[in-house]
Amino acid sequence: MLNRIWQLTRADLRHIAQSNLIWITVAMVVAGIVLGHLLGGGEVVVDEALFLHDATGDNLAAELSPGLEAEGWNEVDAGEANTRETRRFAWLEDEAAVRRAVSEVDVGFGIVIEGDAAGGYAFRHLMPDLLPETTRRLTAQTTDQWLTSLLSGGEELEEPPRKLLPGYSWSEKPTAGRVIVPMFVFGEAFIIGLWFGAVLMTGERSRGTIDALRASPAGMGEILTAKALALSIFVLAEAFVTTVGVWGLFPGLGLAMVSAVLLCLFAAGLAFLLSGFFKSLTGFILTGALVTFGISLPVSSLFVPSFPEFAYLPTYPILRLVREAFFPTGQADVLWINLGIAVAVTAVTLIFGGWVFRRRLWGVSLGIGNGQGKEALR
Amino acid sequence: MIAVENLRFRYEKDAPPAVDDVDFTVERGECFGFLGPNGAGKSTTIKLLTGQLPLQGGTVRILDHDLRNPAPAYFEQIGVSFELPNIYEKFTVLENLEFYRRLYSGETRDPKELLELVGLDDAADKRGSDCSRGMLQRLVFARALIPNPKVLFLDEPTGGLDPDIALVIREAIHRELDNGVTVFLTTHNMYEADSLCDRVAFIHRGSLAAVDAPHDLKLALGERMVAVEIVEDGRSTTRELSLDDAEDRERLGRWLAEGAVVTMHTKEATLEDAFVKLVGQHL
Repeated sequence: MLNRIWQLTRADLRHIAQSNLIWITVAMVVAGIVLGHLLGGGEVVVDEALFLHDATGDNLAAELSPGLEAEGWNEVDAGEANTRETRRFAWLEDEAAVRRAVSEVDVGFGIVIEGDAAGGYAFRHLMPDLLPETTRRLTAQTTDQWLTSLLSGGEELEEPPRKLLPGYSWSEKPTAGRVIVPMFVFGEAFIIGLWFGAVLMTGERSRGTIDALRASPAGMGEILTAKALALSIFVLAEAFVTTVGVWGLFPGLGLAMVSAVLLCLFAAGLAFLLSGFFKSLTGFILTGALVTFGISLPVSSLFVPSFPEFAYLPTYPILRLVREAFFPTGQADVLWINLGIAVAVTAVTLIFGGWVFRRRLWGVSLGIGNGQGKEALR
Repeated sequence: MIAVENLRFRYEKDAPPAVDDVDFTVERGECFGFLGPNGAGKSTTIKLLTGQLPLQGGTVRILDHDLRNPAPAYFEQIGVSFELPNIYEKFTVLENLEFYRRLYSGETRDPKELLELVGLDDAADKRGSDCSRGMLQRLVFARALIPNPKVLFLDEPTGGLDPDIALVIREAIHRELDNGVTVFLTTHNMYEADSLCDRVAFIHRGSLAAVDAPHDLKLALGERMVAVEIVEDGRSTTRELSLDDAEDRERLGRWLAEGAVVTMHTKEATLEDAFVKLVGQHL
């Protein structure tokens, strides 16, 4: 059985390599590496900054500075702040984590405190010993002059901090540089899984070779396992080239590879499922494009404050893993919970996709569309 | 070898059955033909017998395997040639065979010998996309022989092929039959069924209308006729006479005695005649 799976995998790898879509992924790898270096390295000091996060800024503000609350601090949109900041490193409430993070990051480049500025205020009070080293470079790292002022001396506020939220620009050069490589890794993995998965599946159907395979000793489980394996090998190679290409710019590249494989397999599960309804790649294009768009929405949270509802998309935990790979928080629970969810979602999608494909191939209607059975009747 | 009882299959709950209560058996080394027009249920039957469709009703036992849950060992012993040339176009002819060969764990036949058998040895390095329909059909047939099958399922093996290529495939089928292979053949080509099959089944709208040897079906369902060209009153005319009709027999004897017969041809029934007579539709 293993030999059969390997033979099928080899053939599938060859189909992938001979597909015209291969050039798209090659272009993405090259673009990811080039843009990663152009935008993500060199002078990009934010890459080495420590981002701190205050999830309960309102409460802390109220506790530490009743006066600030009176100024309207509690009106800061904590939900939005949380959404943005879950991608960052440390939670201010967890002093040990902050200290560990500070020790692990080259804080000579500065500490940027995001979200509502109550976090900064709290930081100053909770861990004053960390301040002297960080405040020195803080001005250069943030456009938030107000925050600088606060940290360096707690001067009088001139305006409510909530107005400063737009000032935390995620589109400024350093930030874009940080996310460009993870975005490409995410994109490559998804494209390989969904589109190459569709190439493999619809290819077998349109050629009719799936019938020949099913008349051989190869079972459907072996056929689908081989395809998933071929896609995994391919995405591993792609992620490896990309991550090696940006070596030194990011930590956690092993986790990046794991995330890429999981995302690829999740997308492959979708490809299996959808390929049951399409006999050719041409028919798959519109649906594939819509699925790609919908499932990729969480990626937007790498760039801009996104919607909390994105957390319900199945790719969200995988994106969290990608983030964790490139911007590690060191929070084991974040890693393992999201890894567990991602593995479970991927396994369910693969199994369900394979089951639907097999049912559709049998021509047994699921009550949707036109199965092969009707074609055979004609 | 093959035992099918009450085989039923429908693609949709509300659709008419594609195969309806079909029974037949095929003996070892026999060539059994399934004859019927397009949509009669031939391909569905072959898909059911080769495990490509799940059994919904009835029982199928082939080579002592119950096809309700066929084991991989079953597929090691059968070869399937499909109606459409379903091969990997980007692989060469030889690579296609070698790829399939590696899927079997038992003893297999040498792909190069098989290419020689079907006259494709010169095209071994040609990519599938560069092959003609006839070449691909031969390749698909050769692929079916890879596992050295005990049962060979052939779905319209010569459909749409030039007569000379069809002849190559028919000769190859004869060779397999000579080697004791059991052949299950679907076709709507009556000449192919007549020349290859020990027995044929007429299938119409999913049901079997008759199962018998081609000769017996022709005798049972055809008419024994003779077309006779005679010279009568100085003019040449052609008459058709039934050998089962006493008057016609007497008339034929008289013309022969008078030396009036110019030409005479037997008009024995074809399988198509028998099919038409039985189900009222052409093949």
